[in-house]
Amino acid sequence: MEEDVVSLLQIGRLIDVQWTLGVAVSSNTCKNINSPFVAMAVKVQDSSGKVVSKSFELSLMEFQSFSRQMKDIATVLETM
Amino acid sequence: MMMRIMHFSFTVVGELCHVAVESLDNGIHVKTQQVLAKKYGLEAETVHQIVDGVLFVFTESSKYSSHIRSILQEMSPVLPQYHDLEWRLDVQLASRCLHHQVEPHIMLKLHTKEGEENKTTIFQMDPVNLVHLTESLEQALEEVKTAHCRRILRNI
Repeated sequence: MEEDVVSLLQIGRLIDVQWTLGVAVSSNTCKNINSPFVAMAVKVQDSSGKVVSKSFELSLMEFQSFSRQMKDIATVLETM
Repeated sequence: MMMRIMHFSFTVVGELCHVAVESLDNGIHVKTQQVLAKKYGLEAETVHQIVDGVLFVFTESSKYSSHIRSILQEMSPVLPQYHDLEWRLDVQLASRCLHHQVEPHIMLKLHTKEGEENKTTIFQMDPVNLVHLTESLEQALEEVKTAHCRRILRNI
């Protein structure tokens, strides 16, 4: 049943999430950056069965917003 | 002219072309043409016409040489060309698998051009690899300074 819904809506299935927390120290354009970031690698299996990896980076602000949304989802689930 | 040339042997054609190329540098030399005509039992006028024709082909083709060059360049296999390299030094402090760590990483963004198409490749490197890469590139630079390389570069 669940399989049918997934293939019908062409929604990928989340396989894995990896994260790292790091500090950008310096770059070719800026000697002292010293700003923290979160890098995430998301592995998703699409409806055709192919596993796709996508990695992206979030600034601290962006990550806080992202994590708040995840927590909001969890809260909604709890009240159901 | 082409019809006439086709009746001659490779040796004769080669020598006719050779005379034509020489006259590009030294001007048309009637005496040389007469000697050549005598050698192969041809009429001096025929030799003159052929040399003239070959010269015409050379000068005409030189007008298009940049055009021809660009066409040939398009036909040759195109490798992506280096365009730019951006880097950033990061220190990894934690990951899902391992909290509390201090791991330096170098993030690199390589910009390449393939014809009109621009491509970027993002990859990460650890300091050991960076040192190895630097050493390897410096070795390549040293190689350019060697007598062997300099001789070849001089002759190109």
